[in-house]
Amino acid sequence: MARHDLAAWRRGAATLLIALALLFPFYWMLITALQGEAAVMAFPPRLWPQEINLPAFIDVFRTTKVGRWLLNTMLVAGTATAVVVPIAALTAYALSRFRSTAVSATAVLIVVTQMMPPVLLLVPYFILFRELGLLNGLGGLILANIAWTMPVSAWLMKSAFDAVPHELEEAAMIDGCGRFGAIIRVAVPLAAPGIAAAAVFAFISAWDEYFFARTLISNSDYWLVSVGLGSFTGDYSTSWQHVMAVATISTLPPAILFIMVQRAFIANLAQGGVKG
Amino acid sequence: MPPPSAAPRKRAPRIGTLPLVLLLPVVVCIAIFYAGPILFAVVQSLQKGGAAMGDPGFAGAAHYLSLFGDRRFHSSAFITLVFTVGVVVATYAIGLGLALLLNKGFPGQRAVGGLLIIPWTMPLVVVAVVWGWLLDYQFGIVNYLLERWGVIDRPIGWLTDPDMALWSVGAANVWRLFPLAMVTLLAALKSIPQELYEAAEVDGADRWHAFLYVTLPGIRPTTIALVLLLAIWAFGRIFTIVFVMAGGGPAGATETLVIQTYLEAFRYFRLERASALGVITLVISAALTILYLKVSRAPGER
Repeated sequence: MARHDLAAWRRGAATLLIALALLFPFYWMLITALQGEAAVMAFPPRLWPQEINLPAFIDVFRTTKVGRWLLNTMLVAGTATAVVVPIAALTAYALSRFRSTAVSATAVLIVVTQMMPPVLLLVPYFILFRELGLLNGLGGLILANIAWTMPVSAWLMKSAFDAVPHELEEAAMIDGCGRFGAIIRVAVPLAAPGIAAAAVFAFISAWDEYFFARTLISNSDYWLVSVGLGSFTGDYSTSWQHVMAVATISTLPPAILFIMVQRAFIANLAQGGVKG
Repeated sequence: MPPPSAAPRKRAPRIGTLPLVLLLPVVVCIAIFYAGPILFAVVQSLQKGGAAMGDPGFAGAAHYLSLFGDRRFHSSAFITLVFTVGVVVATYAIGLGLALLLNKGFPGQRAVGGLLIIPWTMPLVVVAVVWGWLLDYQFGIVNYLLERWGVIDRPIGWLTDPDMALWSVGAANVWRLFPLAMVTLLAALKSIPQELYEAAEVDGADRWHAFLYVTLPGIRPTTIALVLLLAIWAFGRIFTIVFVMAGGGPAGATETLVIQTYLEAFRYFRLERASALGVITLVISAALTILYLKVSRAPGER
C-alpha cells in the first residue's frame, strides 16, 4: 500500500513539474507586468521577481487608451450577449425537443458555421457594413458579434435543455400552461445553469474576437482591447512591461468568468446526478 | 464542439409551427451572415478585378487559374499543409500525454488539471503578445536561457528568421490548443472500462501492450473526431495568433492560405482574387467538415 502511495506522489510531482513548465508563458506575463520597467530590462533577466511595482502596472491606464478599450469591449460583448441569449435559448429548446427535417437541417447548418473559415466572410462583411454605414462604430461590431455567437450559443444551450425531462413541461401544460408558458416557466428555469454557461461563453468569444474588430474599425477610440493589445506588436514606443500589463488586464475578465462557468457546469452535473 | 446527434428517448410530440418559429431567428442569422456572404464571395471570385467598385465584368475562372499558376499560392499552400499537420500532431501528442498522466490518480490531481486549462482561457491576442515577448530576439527569455544552458551560442531570430517563424507561431497555437485535446482525451480515457485492463493483465499483457490493445482502441473514435476538428481549425480558422505574431512574414514564411486571403483583400485590395482564395479554403474546409460529420455520427459512438 505504501509503495502505491509513494508511486502516486511521484507521479503527482512529475505531472506538477510538467504543468509548471507548460505554464511558464503565463507566469512570465504576470511577473513582467508586475515588475518595474528597470527590472524587466535587467540583465541577466530575473526569473523571480524581487519587487512588485503596482504603480507601474496601473500606469498603462495613463499611457495607453486601455481604459477606453476595456469599456468598448464590455459594451460590445455585453450587448451582443444580452441579445443572443434569449433568442438562442428558444432556438436551443426547439433543437432539443422537436424531431423534424427542419430541426436536423438547422443543427447541421449550425455545426457548419463553426467549421468554415471566417476569412471568407470578411470582404462581404466589409462591403455590407460599408453600405449600411456601420464601419468604424461599435454598433457594427455588436451586430457582427451577435451573428458570430448566435449559432454556437444555441448549440451549447441545446444540451442544457436535453438534460431537462420533458415530462415536467407536459405536466405544466396539463395544469393549464400553454406550450410557450411551459417553456418560459418550466424548461428555461431548469436549464438556467447551462444557459448561463453558454451566455458566459458568448461573452468570452466576443471579448476574444480580434479578426472583425481589427478590420471593421480603424479609429483607435473605438478599438476593443484585443485590437489595442495587438497594435503594440512592432510598436517600439510601448515597453514590454506595459504590453504585458495590458495583456494581464485583458486576461482577467474572461479567466474569472471561465472559473465561474466551471462551477456552474459542476453544479449542473451534481444536480443531474441527485435526480438520477 | 460535439457533433449533432439524434437525441434518443424523446417521443415526438405534436409539432405544429412552433419549432419553425423558434428556429427562424438562427436560420435568418445564418442566411444573412453566413450563406449570403459565401454566395457573394463565390460570385465575386468569378468577376473581373475592380468589380466591387462598381465595374462588373465576368472573368470566369481567371482568378482561380491565375492562383493555381502562382508561386506565392504554391508556397502558401505548402506552408498551410506543414502548419496544419504540425499543429494537429503536436496538440494531439501533448494532450494525450497529459491526459494519460492525469488519468492515473495522484494527490492534487484536480488542481493540476485545473491549472493546465489556463492557456485555453487566455485571449488569442494575449497568447500572441506573450509568446512574442518570450521569443523576442534581444530581450526574450527563451534566447537568454538557451544561451546560458549552452544550447545555442548566438540568439535565434524566432520570428525574424524565415526558417524559424512558422515553428514559433505554431508553438504558440499548440500552447493555446493543448488543453482542449487534454480534456477531450481524458474524458475518453475515463470511459474505458477498467475490466478491460484487468482482463489484459490476466492475459499477461504488460503496460505497453495494454496501451496498444486497450487504450488506443478505446480512444479511437474520440481521436478521429478530435484530429479532424483540430485539422479544420488549424487549416481554416487560425488567424489571430499568426497574424499578430508575424503577420505572414518574414518573407512570407508564415503566410498560410488564411493570412494570404486577408493580405490580398486588405493590403493589396485585390478583392476578387481574395475571394477566390477564400473559396478554395472553404472547399477544403468543407471536405474536412463532411468527413467530420460522417465520422462523428458513425454507429457505436456517443
